[in-house]
Amino acid sequence: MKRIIPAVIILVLILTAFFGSYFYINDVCKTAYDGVESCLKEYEEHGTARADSAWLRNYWDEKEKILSFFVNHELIDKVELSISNLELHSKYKDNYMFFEACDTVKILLHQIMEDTKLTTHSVF
Amino acid sequence: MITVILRTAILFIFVTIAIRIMGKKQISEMQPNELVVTILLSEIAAIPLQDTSQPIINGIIAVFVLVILEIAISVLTLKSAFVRRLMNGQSVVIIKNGVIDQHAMKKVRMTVLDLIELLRIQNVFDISTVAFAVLEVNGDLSVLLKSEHQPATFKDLDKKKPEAALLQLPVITDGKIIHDSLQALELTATEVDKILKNNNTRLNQVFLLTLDRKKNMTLIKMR
Repeated sequence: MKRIIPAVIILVLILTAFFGSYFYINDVCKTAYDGVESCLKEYEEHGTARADSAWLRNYWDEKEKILSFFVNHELIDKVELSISNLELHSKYKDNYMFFEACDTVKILLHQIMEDTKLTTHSVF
Repeated sequence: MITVILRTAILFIFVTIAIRIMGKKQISEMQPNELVVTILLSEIAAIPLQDTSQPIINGIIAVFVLVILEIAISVLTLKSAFVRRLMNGQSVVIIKNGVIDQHAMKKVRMTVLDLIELLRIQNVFDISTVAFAVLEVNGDLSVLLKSEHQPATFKDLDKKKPEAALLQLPVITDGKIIHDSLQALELTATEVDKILKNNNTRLNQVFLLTLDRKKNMTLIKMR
């Protein structure tokens, strides 16, 4: 009994951390994903996406601190770098590089969300 | 650098907590599942230390999942004989009435030389004197000698029981009185002073003084 109570408390904490991180990561990544989509839309409509890409960069800067508790830091840094590239290519209107940066961010965000899911791929 | 220091300190604290929850045991006393958990704990804790890109919480959670599994298995082991047999195995009788059970030895994959070594560790040099030798699940060998080879007790010799052994406690070490020992022996500092005076010694000259309740003592002076 002496060891069971701490074990149950730890189990509850682990489950809370798991569900908390799952919902937090998915929420942040979905918002960032939508941010990339609006960057694309803005770029297609106005030929620039500086406002949306700046918002996306600020958003990621703000969220990455908590994300780093749960997500591989290299992956977070890669997303940050790609968002910076996206802003830069939008500024210089480099179509090819802009769309490539958008795709990279989307793929990385998708990968982060996939890592939180329980799949045979993630387990084995 | 500071990141590594902090991460090491954090993991050290969590692994220590984990081991405290699991309870302490010597490696030789561990059951197979406990040994597996101990080996895995050190490996898992080392991953976030070596790879700073890994979130430290992954290591902490893995450590505590192992602790939970270990506790769950130990609870199941207590409750169910089947699980106990499955997880820990069973003790095997290797020698019966001085005769080695070769079939049992094959089963536990033990050579005669291993058996003789384990017997020697138990101060047994003649297999024919052994009534029972049991190989325990943790690898130790328990030996029961035949009654004629067992050491004689006071009961066997039909003699009066000796006085119970008294525990001697260190009362003075390096010239300093240990008050906890005085309390345990129900002695006062004045009584200790008297003992020192009777031995022509001062407190600061004493390297070690041990006493029991009957004031039997061992006195070693400082050189």
